[in-house]
Amino acid sequence: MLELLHPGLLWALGLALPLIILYILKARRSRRTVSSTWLWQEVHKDLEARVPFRRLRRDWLLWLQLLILILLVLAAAGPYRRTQLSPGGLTAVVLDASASLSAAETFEPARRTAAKLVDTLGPGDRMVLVRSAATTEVLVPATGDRRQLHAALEDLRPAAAPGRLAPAVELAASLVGSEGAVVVITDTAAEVGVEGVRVVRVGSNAGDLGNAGIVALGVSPADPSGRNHEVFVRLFNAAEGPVRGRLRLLLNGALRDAAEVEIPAGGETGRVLNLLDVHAGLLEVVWESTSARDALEVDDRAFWVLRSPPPRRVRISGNPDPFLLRALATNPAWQLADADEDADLEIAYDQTPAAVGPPLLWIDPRGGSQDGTVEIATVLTWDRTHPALRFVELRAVRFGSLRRYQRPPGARVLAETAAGPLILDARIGERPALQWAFDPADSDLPLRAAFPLLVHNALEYLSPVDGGLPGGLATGIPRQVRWPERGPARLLSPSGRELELDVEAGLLRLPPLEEIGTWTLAGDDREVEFGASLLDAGESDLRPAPETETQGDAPTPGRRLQTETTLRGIWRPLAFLALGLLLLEGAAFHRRWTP
Amino acid sequence: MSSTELLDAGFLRRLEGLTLRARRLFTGRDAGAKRTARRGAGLEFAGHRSYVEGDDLRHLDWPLLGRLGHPFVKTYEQEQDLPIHLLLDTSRSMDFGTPPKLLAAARLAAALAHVGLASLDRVGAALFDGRGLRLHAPSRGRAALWPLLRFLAGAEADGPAAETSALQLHAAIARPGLTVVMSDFLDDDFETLLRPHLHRRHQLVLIQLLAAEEIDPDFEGDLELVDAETGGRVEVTLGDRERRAYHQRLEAHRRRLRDFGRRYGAEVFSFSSDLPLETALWEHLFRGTFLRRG
Repeated sequence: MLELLHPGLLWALGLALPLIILYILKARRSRRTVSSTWLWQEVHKDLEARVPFRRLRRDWLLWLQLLILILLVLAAAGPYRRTQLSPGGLTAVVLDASASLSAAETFEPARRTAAKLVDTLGPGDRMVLVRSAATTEVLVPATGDRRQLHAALEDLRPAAAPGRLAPAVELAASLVGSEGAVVVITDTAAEVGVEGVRVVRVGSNAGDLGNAGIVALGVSPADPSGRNHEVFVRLFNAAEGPVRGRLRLLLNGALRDAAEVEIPAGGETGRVLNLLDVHAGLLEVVWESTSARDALEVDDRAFWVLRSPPPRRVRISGNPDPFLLRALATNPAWQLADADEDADLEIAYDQTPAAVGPPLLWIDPRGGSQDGTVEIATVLTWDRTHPALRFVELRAVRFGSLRRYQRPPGARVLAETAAGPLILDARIGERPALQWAFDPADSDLPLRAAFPLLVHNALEYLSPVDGGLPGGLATGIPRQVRWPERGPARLLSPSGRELELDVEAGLLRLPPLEEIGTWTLAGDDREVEFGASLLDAGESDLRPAPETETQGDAPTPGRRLQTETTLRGIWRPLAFLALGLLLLEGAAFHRRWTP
Repeated sequence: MSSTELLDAGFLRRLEGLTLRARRLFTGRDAGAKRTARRGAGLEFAGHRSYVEGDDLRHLDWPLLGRLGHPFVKTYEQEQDLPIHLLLDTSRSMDFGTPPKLLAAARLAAALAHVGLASLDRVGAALFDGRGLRLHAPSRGRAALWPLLRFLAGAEADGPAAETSALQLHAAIARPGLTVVMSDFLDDDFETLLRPHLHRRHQLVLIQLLAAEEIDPDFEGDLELVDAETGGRVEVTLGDRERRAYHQRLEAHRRRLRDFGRRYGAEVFSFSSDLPLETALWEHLFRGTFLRRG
């Protein structure tokens, strides 16, 4: 929108009137001798020559001079454009690329809005382009290169993962500093949490179209045989009315079970599908809406890799009491190994273990920093949420000859008595370890149901099956996995992208995944597949919040941008154009009057 | 201008074999090659008349006398020279154009004079303008060409607009014959100017010479036009509309000149002064009747 600094100067356009009068006034004529004026007298009877005014002719020189006058007056009036980006300013554009943006007609408006912001960049302006999905990624660092920014926008695709907008906005704000501006383009109605950030909300009619999707998936054995499974699926309907559809369970692409499902409006429903006589394979659960159009595809499929791991081996050093051996025998997933065999886990019973080896359950650690023995103790507190103590009831358990010792550095106390720590989550050398500061034989714990649970939890915590990696994960959530190999592991995405992950102290950290399908985690000697699915009701819910004003293309100025709006004068091109026209007029005048 | 500027030897040779002819019979002064109304000792049989005393008995038609019993004598057409008058307008308006209209007229006159003298005709010339008449007496024979050319070469377009009196004088003293008037005829009353010659039964050939800028004015805009002859001034603003009107006026004037010629048996030619002499002769004048191959 063109505005004027000095609109009062537009009165100067009135100079066009004297200019026109000059044209209709009797012109000063150049003299020319001709052989005879008789014919000219006949031609004209030149009435115009006898009156002070003449008829205004269609003289292009007049129009040219009027145009020059208008241009000069406009240039003098100080025309300017209100630019949204300050000259030399820095703007960060955070583009929400979460799964909900992949809904029909949502991501393109977001991309166009960002492209329009790129187009507003003036000389000296710079822009940072930040992609926000499960992770935050700076696509383009601060640059004024529009082509680079447009190219990055063209390559941008929404992720199949829930978005985490706040970290992206905080990163963008830190990148531009206090002088820069942050523009967030998103479909979420939530506040971004950073003051002064301009939020451009984009959306589509997906809310009208409706969407339903899978928000939870779990697979558990139906019986001890390990061949029959129950697949639990939870569905969420974000539409205004109930949705009917079909839920199908595929194993390696072949249909194994199906169910007709109706989901109430705005509600959830669960279904259990049966998978019989199967050891391993890729499970895929597919939701097909039959009563309404489904706006989001990425939440209509969920994946789970059904694995059949070999039994793990546990090595026992020392002389364990029979209660421990009996507890081990109740768990078919574990087998006892000889003392000199490789094992997935070692139980050191009243022994001082080596610093190197498999994960360790250290019972009655006499070799530690013990400083005495407490005869009788009861548990005061214990961490019921810790995997090693899950479902374990320690209240009223009496311990005799409890070892009193100081807490090793870095250890975490999971259960504590008045005399000191009872169970610690610690590290022995490089070995993850659980320390039991008691001898089960000197307590009444083996007589309780908590004992086999405690043993089982300890084994699964220290050496979980497949490193603790379940057959299915939700995208967008980081996860820590135990990995027995020392070298880096490779993570292969369903689309074939490869990422190298470092292993530290037997642990590797899976980044938030942004693709659904079958992922592969591979090392030198082992390879584990797992499924990844969206499983996020927030992303499946495409309904705009009541207070959200959905905008397609037109950005609204944010507070910070408004304060930094600058006026970009455009008088120079007008003045140069007027100058050019003046030269043209001069040339034409010279040509007209030069014989 | 010089006499050699008017004609060159090569062009003179191309004019050989041409002759000037009048549609009417005029009486010349000396024997020549043109038929006249006078009966005399010619070669062309004209008719019979009754014998009167004193007639030459050699012309008595004896067979007719024997058949009819009445004496008749045979009469013959007498062939004499054709009086040719070349009149050039030397008013200041003839100084316009490239080449000037007067120079183009003098070249034409020189060419016609050569044709006439070569045909044993008597050719005279006259320059007329507002100051009066300058006359070169009619003469005949090829030897008369160069004095005539010198006369034409001495013409200058520096006089005021031509007046009727000058042409009245010429018509009064000149033997009736073929009179070629070369002018721009940019005068509303050119009929009055030519009327004396019509009264004296001259056969007129009118050659209108116009400058290219008069046919298509090359100027535009706000102008004060000054008449070269009268000094009169006209203010005009020349645009496309005025240019079209001028063309229409000029064409109307030319049409009026042609109508005048048709009415009084005069041949009228009109062309630009920048037309080459050969083109003017072969493509314009030769289309008329007064210039023919011998």
